[in-house]
Amino acid sequence: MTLLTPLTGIIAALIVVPLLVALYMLRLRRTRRDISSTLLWKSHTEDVRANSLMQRLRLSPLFLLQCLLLLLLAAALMQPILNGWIRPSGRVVLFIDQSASMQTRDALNGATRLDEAKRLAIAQVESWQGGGIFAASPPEVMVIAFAQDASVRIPFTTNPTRIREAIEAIESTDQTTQIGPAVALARAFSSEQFSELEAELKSATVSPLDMQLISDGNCPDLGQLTLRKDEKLSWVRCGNPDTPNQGISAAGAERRNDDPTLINAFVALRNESQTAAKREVQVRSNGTLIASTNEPITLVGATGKGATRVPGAQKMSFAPFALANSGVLSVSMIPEDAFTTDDRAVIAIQEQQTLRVLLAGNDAAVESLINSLSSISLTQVSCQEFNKRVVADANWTESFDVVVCVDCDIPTLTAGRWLIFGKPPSISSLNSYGVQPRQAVRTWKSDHKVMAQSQFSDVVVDNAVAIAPTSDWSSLLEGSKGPLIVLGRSDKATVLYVAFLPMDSNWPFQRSFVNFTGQSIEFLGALGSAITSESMEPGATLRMRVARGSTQVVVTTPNGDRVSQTPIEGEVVFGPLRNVGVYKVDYLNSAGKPVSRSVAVNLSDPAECNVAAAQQLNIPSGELQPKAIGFSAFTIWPLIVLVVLSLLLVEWFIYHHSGGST
Amino acid sequence: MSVENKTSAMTKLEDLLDPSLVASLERLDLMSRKMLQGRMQGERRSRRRGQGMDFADFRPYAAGDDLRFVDWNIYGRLDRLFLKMFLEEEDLGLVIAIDGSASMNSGTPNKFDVSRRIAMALGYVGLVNQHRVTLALLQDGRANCLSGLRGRRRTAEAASWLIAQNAAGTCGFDGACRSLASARLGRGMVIVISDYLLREGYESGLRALAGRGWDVFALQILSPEELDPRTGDQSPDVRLVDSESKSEVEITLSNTVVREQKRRLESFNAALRETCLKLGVRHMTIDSAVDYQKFLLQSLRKQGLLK
Repeated sequence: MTLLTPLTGIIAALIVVPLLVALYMLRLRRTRRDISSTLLWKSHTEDVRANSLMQRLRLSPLFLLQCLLLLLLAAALMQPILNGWIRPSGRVVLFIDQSASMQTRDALNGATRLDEAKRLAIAQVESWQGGGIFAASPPEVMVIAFAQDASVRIPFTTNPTRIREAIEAIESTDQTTQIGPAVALARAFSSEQFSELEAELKSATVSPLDMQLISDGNCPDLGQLTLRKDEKLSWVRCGNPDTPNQGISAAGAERRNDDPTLINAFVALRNESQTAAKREVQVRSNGTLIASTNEPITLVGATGKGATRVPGAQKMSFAPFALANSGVLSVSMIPEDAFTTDDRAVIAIQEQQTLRVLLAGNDAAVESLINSLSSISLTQVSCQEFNKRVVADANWTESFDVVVCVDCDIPTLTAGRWLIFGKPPSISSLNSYGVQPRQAVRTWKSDHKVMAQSQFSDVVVDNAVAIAPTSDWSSLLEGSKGPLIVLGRSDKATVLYVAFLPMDSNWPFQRSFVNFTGQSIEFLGALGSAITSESMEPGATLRMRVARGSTQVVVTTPNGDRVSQTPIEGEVVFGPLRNVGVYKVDYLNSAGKPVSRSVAVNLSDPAECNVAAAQQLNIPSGELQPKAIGFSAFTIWPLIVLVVLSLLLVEWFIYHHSGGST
Repeated sequence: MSVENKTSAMTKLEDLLDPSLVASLERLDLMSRKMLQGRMQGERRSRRRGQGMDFADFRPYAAGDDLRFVDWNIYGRLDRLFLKMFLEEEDLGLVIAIDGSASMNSGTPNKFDVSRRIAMALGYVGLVNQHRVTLALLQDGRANCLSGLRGRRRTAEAASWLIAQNAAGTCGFDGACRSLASARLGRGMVIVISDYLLREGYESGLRALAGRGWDVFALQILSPEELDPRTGDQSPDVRLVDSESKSEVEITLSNTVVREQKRRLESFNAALRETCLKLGVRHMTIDSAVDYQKFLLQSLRKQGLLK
């Protein structure tokens, strides 16, 4: 047991107890009563009070009871609390996880983990505020809600009402979890009030930063979190480590090449729990059931033995169904489990579109590759013809979705999206300065959409243009002597520049060349909408190209919120996306015709879908065990006051039973 | 807090003697346990032979006897003179003594007021029955008397005397009783009305009265506050002030104390009764709040003081 304010109680006891004793020793102020004779009263010696100011102290039950009451009240003023609860001093940052896994309903009374986290956070803050008027100052509290990104919900304050309101206002998201940005934000806020010199001067006196993480512990980047010497991290766990989860790990659909009105849909399921589970999958188009599994599918446990190659994974496809126009396919897994976010997936299917591609230059490999892509309308011209047309009409290139140039001189880079091989365009930001012979690939940006699913390590370039692009260009493929593929913008043009001709390398003979060319054209032309839109992950930023001159752009979120957007250079940017579902972009094109496009957002992150709460957190400085808060902060003084009130009743009974005196 | 100790304003006979009570009192007479010798012929049978109506005895005639009482029938049969003797009817000496100390001037109703009303009623009975009534106030060791009252016409005089009396100072019971006993009042009945809460004691005084052959009746009158200390003011912590000595007692009226006080009062009264029994004195204790008409017409008749 800890006494929060022992001095207050001691001082109070030292004042009131002697005062009570003195009151008992002081002569009573009695009422005068004239009687005929005191003859028979004289012998009541035990009740006769001396006429002196003070009298001998007599130990009566009431006196002892009152002493006990005063001592108990003094003890209550000391604010005893149970051991295990220590009021932090200085500054406390509450990190409240609002990621997708926090929507798992495995808390008490079917509440979500986020509800539980908010309840625990409020209980924690209120316990710090406790202690009454004699308590020491409560700590300054800052609340940061985090998922993939972090936001300060309330800066450092001691106002419990504002803190409570800020905590209650935290909403759930379907994003993945990253603690790093949240900690960086906390560090920035905790030191913002001080200059460097002041911080150095105050470092000796400023209390260390107490960071309290309220989460289920599914933070993949905790392993990279290094605490500073004045930082302390504790973890309050929400959720059950044994909560099972089955979900949809992927869902896709595509139009058939032979009949674009038919859609092929496929679904991948995942079982994160140790035990097998049976689930049924249904596919609906705009609300109408169009396909389902004939019988529940057995999902083998993640560690169980099964027929599938990956334990716990199960893939399935459905018979083709007709869908000529745009629509939304929703895939649902039945029955739903505690974590429903990954029990549903949506697929936005756009109307059948054709991508207009202009190929300038003669390269058989590139031409054959573009021709092999579906839904492509290819226009091929020579470099000379291309230059003539560009000179004649500067907006000519903008009538194409993608312009592919192979070894062409491009004197002026007009507006549009360019994939350029060989000769560099005449833009200063590329800084071409000669030729670099014989280069091997050193590294590449595998997480970029263009470079995904490809291996470039075996590519050898015989002759490449030496470039030194400015920092606003990103290098996607880095050779041994300089960048080989870069992506950037120049004025109104988006340029993906390959600093060598394919035929000057062994690249055309490798699969990565096929992947790169197709993905580049899809990327530059936003070709995904021509087949099916690829699913986006929560936390990503929605970028959608709209025709120039489009107006009244409105983004409708899955929650029904409508947000007006202004397209910048033909592109709508909205994000980060917070929830799964269908985001709808409506606008009027330059001809005033309404256009509506949908983007599906699904959660497929394996780490986030593994909703079993962590047993412990592993950070570089060691293991972090969960701790309890709120309810262990049990204050005893209300109980003492209750006892005092009970004793008062006893005293009242004794007083009246004895006729007003003992 | 203070208990009402003031005597009520008595200005006339009606304040002392309720007119509605007069008719009832006229039918009563005092009854002594002793055959007392009176001074004058009265309406009360005496052991002395005299001129009463009741025959008592014969005796031989002696020279000088009143020839009217010679029984001539016996003379005719025996030829000897015998004188008829009758029981004498004499008056009764009635002394009503009231404790005039300050202690009587307390209580609700005031003990002294009630004492005067009782004295007036008993005195009226005595006057109506042609007794020699003496009113006495026992105060400061002396007996202040109004004696020689006889006959109904002295009622107003008795009332005026009672109205004029005040209860103050001490009683000096022993000295006052001795003073009363030594007064030439003849033998008779003495009614002593007091609370008997006397520091100097009461036995010596009562003994002096009883020793003179008087038929003594000790009427103890106590106020409700004395019978139950909780009556009246409910404040438990009190400073009790003696009305005579002005000495103070600080006390807390707890249940225990009140219980003990009642027990002590009972012991005190028992001791008074025992003393009275030993001295041949009749004793009675009344509450000053008693209905004194009922007390006169019923209680005193049961006690044998009135008939």
